[in-house]
Amino acid sequence: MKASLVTLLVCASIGEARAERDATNQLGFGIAFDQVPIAGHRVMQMGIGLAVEHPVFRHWRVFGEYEYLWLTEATTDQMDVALDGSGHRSSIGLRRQLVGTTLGKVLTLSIDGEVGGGVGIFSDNLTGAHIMPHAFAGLRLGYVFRAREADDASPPGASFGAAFTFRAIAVEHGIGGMFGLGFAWGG
Amino acid sequence: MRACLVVLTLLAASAVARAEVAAPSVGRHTLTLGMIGGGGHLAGLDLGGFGPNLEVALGSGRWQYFTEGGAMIVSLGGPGVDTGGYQVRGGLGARWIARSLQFDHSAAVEMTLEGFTAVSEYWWTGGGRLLRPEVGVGVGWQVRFLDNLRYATRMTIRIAFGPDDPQRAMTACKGACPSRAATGSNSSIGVLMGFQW
Repeated sequence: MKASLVTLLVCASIGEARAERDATNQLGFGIAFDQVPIAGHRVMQMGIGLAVEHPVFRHWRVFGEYEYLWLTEATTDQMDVALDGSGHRSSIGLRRQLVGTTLGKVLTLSIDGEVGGGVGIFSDNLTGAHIMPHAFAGLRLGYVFRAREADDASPPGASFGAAFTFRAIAVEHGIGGMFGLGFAWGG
Repeated sequence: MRACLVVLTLLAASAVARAEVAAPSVGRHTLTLGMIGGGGHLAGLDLGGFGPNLEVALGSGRWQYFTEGGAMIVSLGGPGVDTGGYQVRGGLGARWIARSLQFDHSAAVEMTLEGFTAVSEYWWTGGGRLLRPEVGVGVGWQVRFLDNLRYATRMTIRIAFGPDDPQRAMTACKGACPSRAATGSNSSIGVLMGFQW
């Protein structure tokens, strides 16, 4: 985990961002699936959340997320008591474009690196309630459409984008992984 | 934790404030026909289903106030339990267009946020009924055609919360419910896709 964080930060610091995003706030939502170890269980989580972003430095954006989560665990025995629960997770992080290209001034394709952390509150029928901090590092692959400058239908900087997110998540009991799909509007 | 929440709140407030950009008004009267599917838990058992959904809405600015109704074929399963039935559902809600990106005055890709309350009645195939209220929130995106503001196609993901009463839910499994009926979650997810005109 530590090595991946260092690698990501180094890549981010030397990466040549060919096409930076407009300096606008973003609001969006997403759905995510992850698996993390909790108290000896490989807990699968599905989450729906809201996300906001704000540009803080020239190449960096800070983002915040809130997710509502459903917790399950795969069992092979029909007579097993299955883990069943729910939770809330909030995260903040930093994101930087590592590679990107802009086509026709309206479409940007990019790969971003991100690091961050947060805390979750979970409760399930087998392991009880947990307050669990986490840290993460990952990549985001996506696109952003921008309103054309000559188009007066939308305000300057208005955009819509979608991205796949892949993260490694470190929690108290080990490291898990996450995959997500998100949509964001800027303007 | 507290610092995290404060930062998140400030970021959200900032983003929402910036979201107050000119978005085309919604149609004053709209009808949406769609399909809804979802899953969740009832008395610790896995509940799922799908079916048609009809919505009638009044629009004002970036808001829609809607009433909806639908029917579902549902299944209820778990260790030693495999049953199903039918559900009818009626509800009320409000939807807000949080963000809108327009293309050439012809269409807009928009983010929607909504809240709703509903009541569902279940008829189990083996006999027995269950009345279950719910409240929930949803987030989604829609493509709206601006030549006629009423035309849109929309997908919404919903989270609903309902009471989880194992004793009442046992009408579904005829008292043979597994011990896991002591549940850990009373929330469900729903995905609604529809066409509005």
